[in-house]
Amino acid sequence: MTKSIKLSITGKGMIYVCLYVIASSIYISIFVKLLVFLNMIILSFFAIIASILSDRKTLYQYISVLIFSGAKKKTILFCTRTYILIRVIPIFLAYTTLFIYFNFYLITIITGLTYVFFVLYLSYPIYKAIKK
Amino acid sequence: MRKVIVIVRNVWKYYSISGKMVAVLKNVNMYMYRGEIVCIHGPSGAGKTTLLKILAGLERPDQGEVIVDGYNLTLLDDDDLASLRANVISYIPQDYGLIDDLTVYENIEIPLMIIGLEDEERRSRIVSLLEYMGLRGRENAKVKLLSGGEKQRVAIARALAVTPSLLLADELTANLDWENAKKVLEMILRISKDFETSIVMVSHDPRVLEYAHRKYVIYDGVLKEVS
Repeated sequence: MTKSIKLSITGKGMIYVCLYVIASSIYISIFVKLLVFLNMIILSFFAIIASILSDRKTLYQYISVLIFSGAKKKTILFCTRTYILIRVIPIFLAYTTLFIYFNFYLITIITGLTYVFFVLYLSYPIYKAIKK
Repeated sequence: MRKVIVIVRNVWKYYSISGKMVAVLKNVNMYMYRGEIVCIHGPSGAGKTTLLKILAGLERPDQGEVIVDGYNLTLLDDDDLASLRANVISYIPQDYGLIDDLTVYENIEIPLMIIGLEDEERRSRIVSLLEYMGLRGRENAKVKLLSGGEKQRVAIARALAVTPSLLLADELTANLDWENAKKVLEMILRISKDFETSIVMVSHDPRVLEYAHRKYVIYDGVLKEVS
């Protein structure tokens, strides 16, 4: 797990995530509208996918080494989820802080749940693609 | 009496290429003894890597059976095969199988973490491996900054970390000049002697055959033993 955290934080995709967080937070703060929030949540998924794709070589190497070294599927999925989760955390923290600040509690809960499902399910296609 | 560690019996493997089933391994039979170095030589696309992946439990044969260290790989599920790779079989792919963004130490540490070794035991094992592979002082270097020869030694160290019974190496020398390749091959001879590890090397370079105890040639999916 420590390797997943390290690789996720040090990957260049993390810089893209941070830049996205800053830009979108400023945008949300200026345009306080439900539609803007929803758009930004959808955009954030693309930002996370783009950040992972920008580090695809590292992720490919990491999962391959886990497979060669005898890690079980459960362990590999856990490591992949940790890797994605670290990318999601900055966005999640920024958005929930903003949504709570603007009293959009329901959206905060929905956003949180959506990110959880996103992290859980994105790990499957990544694992399958690399295993193949 | 010498113990047989690998038995490959009547193995066939097919791939679907443009909707057509093509046999990449055709009735392959082989065996090897503990501590032996076997080299499989053949041109690109002959089925060398597929055979190696089947021996590593990374792919399954469509027909036939593979027995490694008493385990029939064809009867095991994915988790059992993973356990076998964690403890018995080590595989070095052609591209070294390392993570460029991690250090030498961290790369070697991964298989030891998977088998659940404690920090202290991991450290002592890695230090002795680095010493053995002549990599002492390079433990904190990022893999992407190493030369091809050094990367290959780190890859071997990662594979040896769990002291496997069977080491599978795919094109060990393909990315090296012959001087560095010779050093790596001499190291393989030393490993086989010191650790009693059985080693299967596949290579398209005929010079590698000199370093093997037994030699096989594969061509168009057909494997033959040569003297």
